[in-house]
Amino acid sequence: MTAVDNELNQQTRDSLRVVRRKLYTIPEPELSAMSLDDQVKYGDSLHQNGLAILMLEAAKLKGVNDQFKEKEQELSAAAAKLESDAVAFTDAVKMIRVISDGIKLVTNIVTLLR
Amino acid sequence: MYCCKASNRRIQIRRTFIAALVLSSTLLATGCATQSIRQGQDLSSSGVAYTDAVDKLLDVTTDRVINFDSAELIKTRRGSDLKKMITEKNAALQSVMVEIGRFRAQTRRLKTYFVNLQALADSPVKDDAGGAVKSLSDSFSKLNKALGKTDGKEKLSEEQKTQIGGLGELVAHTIHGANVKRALERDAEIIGTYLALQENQLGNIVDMLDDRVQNDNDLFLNEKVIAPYVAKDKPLGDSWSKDRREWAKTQCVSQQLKTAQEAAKQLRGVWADILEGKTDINSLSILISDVSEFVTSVQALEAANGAK
Repeated sequence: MTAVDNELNQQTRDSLRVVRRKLYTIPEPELSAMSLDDQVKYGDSLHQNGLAILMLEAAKLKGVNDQFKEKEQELSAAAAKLESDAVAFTDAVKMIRVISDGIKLVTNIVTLLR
Repeated sequence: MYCCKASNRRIQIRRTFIAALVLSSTLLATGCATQSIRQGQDLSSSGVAYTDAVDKLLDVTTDRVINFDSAELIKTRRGSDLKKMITEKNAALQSVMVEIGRFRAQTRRLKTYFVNLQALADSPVKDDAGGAVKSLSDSFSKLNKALGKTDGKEKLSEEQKTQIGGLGELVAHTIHGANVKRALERDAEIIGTYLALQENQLGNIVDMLDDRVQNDNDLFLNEKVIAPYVAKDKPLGDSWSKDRREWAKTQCVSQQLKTAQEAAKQLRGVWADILEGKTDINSLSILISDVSEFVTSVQALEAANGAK
C-alpha cells in the first residue's frame, strides 16, 4: 500500500469519525422526542457509520486490499461530502436526514470490502 | 491542564531516574567484556519490557474497541433491522480483532527474539552459534515478506528504507561480544524492517484507541455534564460536580496517547542505537515508560467508567 493510499484511508476514517461525533452530540431526550421515522433514521445512520469505520480500520490493519484501493478516492470524496453536510447543519432533524441519505453512498462502497 | 503538567513532570522525573540508573550501571561496569555483557542484558530486558508494554496496549485497545462497539449498538437500537445490524457489527468487529490478534502474535515473536538474544549474550560458550536466534531471524524474514510482499519493505516510506539499509554497517564498529555481534550483523536489516512495519501498525492501533477515547469523552461530556446543566427545569444531581471533575481529568489521556504515539516512532532509532552498541539505551526505557504510563491511564479510566 502506498503512502497516498494510507492518507486517503485516514482522511475517510477521520471524516466518518466527525460524523459519528456529531451524531453523538444529540441528547437522548431530544432524540426520544423526534418522530419514530427520524429515530429509525438516526439508528440506521449511526450503525452504518460505525460499521464503515470498523471495516476501514480492519482493512487498514490488514494493509492490502485491492478492492478498497480502486474505490478509495470515491469513498473519500463521499465521506468528505458527508462531513461538510453534517457540520453545516445545526438542526438535529435536518442533520439526521442528510446523513441518512449520504451514508448510503459510503455503505455501497464499503460493502465491496466484504 | 494541571493534571497534564503533573503527568509530564512525573515523566521527566522518571526519565531522569532511568538515565541516572543507566549511567550508574555504566560507571560500575569495568572493561569492555563486562560492558558488552551488560549491554546485551540491557538490550534484551528492555526489548522484553517493550513487547510486554505493547501487549498491554493491545489488551486495552481490544477492551476499549469492544466496549465502545457494544455501547454504540445500544444507541443504534432504534434502527430498522436489529438482527441484521448486530450480525454486521459482529462480523466487522471480528475482522478488527483478528488483525489485532495477528499483530499481537508478531509482537510476541519479537519478544521471543529478545529473550533468545539475552540467552546468547549470557552464554558462557564463546563461539555460541545462537541457533535459536538464527531460527527466529529466519522466521522474521518470512514474516516481513508476508507483511510487505517481496522483501518486506514495500510498505515502508523512503526514509524508513534508507535507515534500514544502513543498519548493517553500524554493527561493524561496535564492542558487542563476538556472538552477539555476529547475530546483530545478520539480523540488523531483518529486525529493522520488522520494527519499521511494527511502528506503522502501532500507529494504526493507537489511532483507533485515540478515536474511542475521544468519543467516550465527548459522550460523557454531553450526557453527564452539559445536558444536566442546561436542563434548567431539573435540579442538578449530587454526582454532577464529580462527573465534571472526572471529565476534566480524563483530558490528560489524549495528551499521553500522543506522547506514546511519538515514542513509537523512535523504535527504529532505538534499534540503530542498539546496533551501534551505545551504552546509553535509555531511549527504549523511555519508550516503555511512555507506553506503560498511557496504558495505566486508560485502565484507570476504564475502571472509573465501570464504577459509574
